[in-house]
Amino acid sequence: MRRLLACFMATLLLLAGACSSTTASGPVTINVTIANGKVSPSGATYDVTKGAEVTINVTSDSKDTIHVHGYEIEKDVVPGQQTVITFVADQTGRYEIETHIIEATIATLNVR
Amino acid sequence: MSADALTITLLHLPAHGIGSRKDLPLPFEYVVVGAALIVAATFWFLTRSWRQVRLSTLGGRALPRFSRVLTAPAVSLVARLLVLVFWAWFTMALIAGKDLVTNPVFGVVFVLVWVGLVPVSLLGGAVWRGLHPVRTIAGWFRPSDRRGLLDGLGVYPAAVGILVWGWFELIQPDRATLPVLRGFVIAWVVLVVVGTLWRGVGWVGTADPFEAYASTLSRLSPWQWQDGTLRLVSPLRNLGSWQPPAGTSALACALLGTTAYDSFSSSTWWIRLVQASDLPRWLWGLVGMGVMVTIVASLYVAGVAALRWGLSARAGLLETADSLSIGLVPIVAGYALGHYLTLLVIEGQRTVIQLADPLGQGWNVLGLAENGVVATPLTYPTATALAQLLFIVGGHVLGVIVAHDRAVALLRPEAMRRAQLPLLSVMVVYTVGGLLLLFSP
Repeated sequence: MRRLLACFMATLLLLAGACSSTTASGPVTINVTIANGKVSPSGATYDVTKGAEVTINVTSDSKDTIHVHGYEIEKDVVPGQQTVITFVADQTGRYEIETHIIEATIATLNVR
Repeated sequence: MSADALTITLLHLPAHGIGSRKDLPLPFEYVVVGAALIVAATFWFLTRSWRQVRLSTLGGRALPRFSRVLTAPAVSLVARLLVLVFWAWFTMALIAGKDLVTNPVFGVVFVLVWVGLVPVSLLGGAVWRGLHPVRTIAGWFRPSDRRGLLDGLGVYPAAVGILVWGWFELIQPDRATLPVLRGFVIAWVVLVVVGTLWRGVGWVGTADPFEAYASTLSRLSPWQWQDGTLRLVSPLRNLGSWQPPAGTSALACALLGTTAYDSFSSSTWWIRLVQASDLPRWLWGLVGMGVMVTIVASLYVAGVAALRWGLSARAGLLETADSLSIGLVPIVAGYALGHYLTLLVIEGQRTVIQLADPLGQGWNVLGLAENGVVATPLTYPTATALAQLLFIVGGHVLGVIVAHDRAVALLRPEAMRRAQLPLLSVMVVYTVGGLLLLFSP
């Protein structure tokens, strides 16, 4: 039984090593490109300290809408122009930033 | 953003998804501590546990006076009418409301019903079944079941219903738009009403996935009716004395599998994988959910199959699986609360506020619209994470206790410990898997 437990804990520790994340304490800037129906970054994770300012710069080759979940910010994106969204992440939780037309998840904000 | 600007944004927001906020990933230390607790508790329990069946009788205290109040015609009529009024209100918003995220129908279905039935059934017992609108209406026309053909079906149709619901809740494109929701509500009404006309009210318990889920969880509540009297009982005895209907293990696996897929599909590596592919998203979703449910179900069946050599009386595989499925019920409840409790708290409030104005005409029924969502729980991420851990580990411990008691009833004394080991390991895998899914970034 002891050995079983030890194996189990070792596996967990290995998993811990595999999953690392970066914590930013200052403002966070996310540069987003929408091209040919794909987003970049795609499904990224950003760790944000509660109260930090988040800036999202978007350039796109098509008309779209950026939606920051939870903070309920929506902004239309015009092709060829840079769109900037700025807000203060003042609520903790996990929030998705997505596009409405091509329906892709750009990033997830983990606000702690 | 100012309050006015927020209101304006919300009003113009197209309906597209429910639950704009999710819980933060569980801190890794919590996963390690939780997993260690689960493994240690389970195997300590296996070596120290009792050898006589202890939970097979309901016990508890009879509450005859309280039962008479609850069954008084006036009380039950008022309660049933209130529920019917609620559903009439919902139907009005569904038929005549606007296709905006501010329409309360989305919150009612995805949050108040699907998540709300968990605490309602755990705290209130068989309330869901007792106040079911179709049962109420059927009761006025058709007093009881006319055929006994339903016993063989058990809750298998409801288990299939949970999978269809899982598709609708998690994969169906445009699920939070009015036309799609209308389609699914009509499908539910046809399933339950036509089936009831065909087979009698027993069909509701067999085929309505929400009622089957609620009734299953109500066995973990401190309330149980026995010979027409309500008893206040130990939740463990309530569950431990239950002989679940056929298909309960399928229902539990469908619930665990779809909830696991929900967590899994919001992990960033899955999102990246799906978005990098040119295959349609629903196909990925269907395959992902199918794989999750298959893993959950085959692990359980394997655990039960590995126990059968120790049975004291011959019993079929599925029969044994259903009998032991009482051990899955607390795990299902722990998963549901761990995953969705903050959603219920936050979006539940939003839905109640939205119910003041079902048609988007600026109504303020009962003054509900003046309230704001109280988001206090969100400011304590540590408390949220601890609660999640408590639900999942607690569900596991309760599950192990009732599963052990049932195993004592089914197994030969000398085979008891060894035969249980595989099934207990499966339960450990479910629970640790649940924790890892909550941790996934």
